[in-house]
Amino acid sequence: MSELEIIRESLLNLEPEKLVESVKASLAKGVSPENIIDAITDALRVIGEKFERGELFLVHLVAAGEAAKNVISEYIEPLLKEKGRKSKIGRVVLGTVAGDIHDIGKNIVASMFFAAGFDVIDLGKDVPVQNFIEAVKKHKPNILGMSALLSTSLPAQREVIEALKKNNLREKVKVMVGGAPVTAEWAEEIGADGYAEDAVEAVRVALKLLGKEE
Amino acid sequence: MPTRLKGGQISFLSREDIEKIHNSTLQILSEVGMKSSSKRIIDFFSENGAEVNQDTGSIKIPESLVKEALKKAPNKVTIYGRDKKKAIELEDKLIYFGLGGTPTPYILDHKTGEWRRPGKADVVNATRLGEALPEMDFIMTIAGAFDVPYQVEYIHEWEAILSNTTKPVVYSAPGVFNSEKVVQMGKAIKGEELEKEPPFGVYVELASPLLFTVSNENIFILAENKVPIVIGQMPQLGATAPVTIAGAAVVSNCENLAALTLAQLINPGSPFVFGAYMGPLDMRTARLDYGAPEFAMGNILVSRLAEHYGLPTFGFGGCSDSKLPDAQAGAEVMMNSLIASLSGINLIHDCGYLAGGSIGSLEMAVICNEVVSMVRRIIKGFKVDEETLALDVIREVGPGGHFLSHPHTLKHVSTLHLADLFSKESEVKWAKLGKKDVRRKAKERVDEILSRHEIEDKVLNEKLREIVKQAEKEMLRGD
Repeated sequence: MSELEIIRESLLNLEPEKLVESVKASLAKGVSPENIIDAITDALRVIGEKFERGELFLVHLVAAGEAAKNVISEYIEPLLKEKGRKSKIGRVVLGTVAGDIHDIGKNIVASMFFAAGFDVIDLGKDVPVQNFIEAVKKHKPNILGMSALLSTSLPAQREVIEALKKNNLREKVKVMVGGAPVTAEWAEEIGADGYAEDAVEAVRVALKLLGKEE
Repeated sequence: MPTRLKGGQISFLSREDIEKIHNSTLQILSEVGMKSSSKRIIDFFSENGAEVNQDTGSIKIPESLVKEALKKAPNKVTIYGRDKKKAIELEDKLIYFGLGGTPTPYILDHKTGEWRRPGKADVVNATRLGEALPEMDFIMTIAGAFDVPYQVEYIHEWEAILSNTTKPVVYSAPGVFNSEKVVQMGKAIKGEELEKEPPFGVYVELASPLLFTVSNENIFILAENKVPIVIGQMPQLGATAPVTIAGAAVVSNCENLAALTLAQLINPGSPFVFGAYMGPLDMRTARLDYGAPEFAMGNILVSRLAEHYGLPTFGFGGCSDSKLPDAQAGAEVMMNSLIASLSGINLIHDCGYLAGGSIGSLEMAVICNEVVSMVRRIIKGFKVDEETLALDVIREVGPGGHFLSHPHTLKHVSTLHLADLFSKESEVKWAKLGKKDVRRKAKERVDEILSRHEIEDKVLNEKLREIVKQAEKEMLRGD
C-alpha cells in the first residue's frame, strides 16, 4: 500500500492516530502536502457519500471531518503557509447568526468545508450583522455561510443579506444559508444563492456555486 | 442466528387470578368434559381412565390425568428449521416472530393493489419473502394454494413452504392423512433425526367450545413422531365462549389441556406449545376481531398460564383488521406485536395478516418486519452501568461541547435503533426521492426480494415433490 493509500484507509476506517502517523510518515518521505490533502479530501468524499446513502452515521461523518481537520491544521497548513500558497478551491466565511448560540451544525459544516480544501474563517456563534460585513470586506471570501437553528433568529439571515447590499458587497460573495428551520423557499425569499440540507450537500452546493462541480 | 431476546415485562394477572382460571378449567374438564365425533379419540381416552360416553361422545377428563400430563410435557421445545443455525428455542419468555398463519382466502396482490384468490405460486413468494425478512424467525403463510385440488391443498402448501425456506416452519396439517405426509416430509429433511431436530411444528386447533374433531386425530401422528404440536385455540367471546374474557379463558384453557393430555398419553414427553386465546367477535359485523385490544391481551393470559404450567407459548402479533396496509394496520400491528413481546410469547405469529386473516399481504409483512425491529429495540431496554453512564465522557466534553465525534459515541452508536423502511429523512429529501409512502416502499422491497436469485436444494425439493405426487395418487384416486 502506498503512503497516500494508508492515509486514505486510516481515515476511511476512522483511525485518527493512524491518520496522524501516516501523514507524518508521508511528509518524512517527501510526499507533497497537496497530494496528502487530495488523499484526505478523497476519503472524506467517500465517507460523505456513504453518509448520504445511510451506510454511515452523522457521528462517523463528524469524527472523520474532525480527524481530517486536526491533521491538516497541525501538519499540513503550516507547510502550505511557508510556501505562501492559498487554497485552490476557495475561501468561506461561516457563522451562526445573532441571537442564536447553536453551533454544532455550523461546526460540522466548517469541518466539511475545511476538509474539502477550502480556507475556512469561522466567526463563531451569535455573530452580529456588522461582523459578517466586516469579515466579508477583510477576507474577501467566495462563500458566506450563515446558520440559524431558531425560527426567531432566521430573520437575521435576511438582515445580513440586506446589509451586504447596502455595502455594495452582495455581488462579490455567494451567500449560503442553512439550519433546521431553513427551507429552500426561505433561501429564495431572502435572496440567498444557495441552501443545503446537511454538511455534505453544503460543500457540493458551494462547489457548484463556484463552478467547480466534479 | 435468531436473536435470543426475553420479553414478559408486563402482566395484570395475579397469581390468584391464574389459579382461579386453572382450577375452573380442571372443574369443567372433569364435570362437563370435552366431546368428540372421533371414535379413535373417545376410545383412547376411555382406555386411559377418562369417563367417556360412547353414545354422546362425551369425554370427562379427571384432574389426575391432566396433572400427570402437565408433568410430562417438556418446558422447552426447539424447532430447528432446515438450517439448524436458525433454530428457535421456545422457553422462558424468549420472543420469536413469524410470517403469517394458516392459509388466507385472499392475497393483496402487491403488483396490482387488488385482492384476489391466491395460488401455490403465492405461497412460494410469501415463503421467499419470509426467508429474506431478517426479523421473521419462523414461517407460516400469507397466501394459500387454491389452484390445486382441495384434497391435497395442505400438502402442496407444505411443499411450497419447505422448499423455499431454511427457517423453522409452523403450519397446519389437519387430519391423519395430511400429518402423515408432513411427517414424511420431515423425514425427507432430517431422516432419523426428525424426533431430535424437528424442522417444523404443526399447528392444531380444536373446535370451540370443547370439541375434538376427527381432524384432531392427527395429534396421534404428531405425538408419536414427537413433532411439536402448536395449539392456538380461539373461542369467540360471546359466541363459542362466554363474552367475559375470564370465562372464555376457561374454555380455551380446557381445550388446550385436553389436547395436551391426549398428546402426553399418546407419547409422554412429546413437545407441546400452549396457546389459550379467545377471539373477540365484533358484534356489529360478526367478524373475528384480530386488531382488537382484547385479542392482544390474550397474549398476557397465555403467557401467565403457560408460566404456571411450565410450557412454551404460541401467540398473536402483526395482524390487523384493516383491508390495506394503512394507518389502522400500522396501529394494530404495533399494539399486538408489542403486547405479545411484553407478554413474553415464544411464537408470535400472523405478521402480514390483514382483514382479520382473510387477506394476506406481502407489503404488510415487510411493514411488520420494521415494526418488529422497533419492538425488539424496546424489549432490549438499556443498561445503566459505569460505561453507559459515561461520567468521564460528560466531564471531558463539558457544557456547550458536543459528543458527536467522541470515541464513546462511536463505540455505542450502534445500540440506537436504525429505521430500515420507515421515513426518517427530511421532507425535502423525501420529496426528492419521489414522496413515497410506506406502502409504496414496502412494495418496492417485495419486488426487490422476489427478484433475487434463489439457491435451491434440488435433491430435497425432488423428494418433497415425490411425496406430493404420492399424496395426489392416494387422495385423488377415482376422481
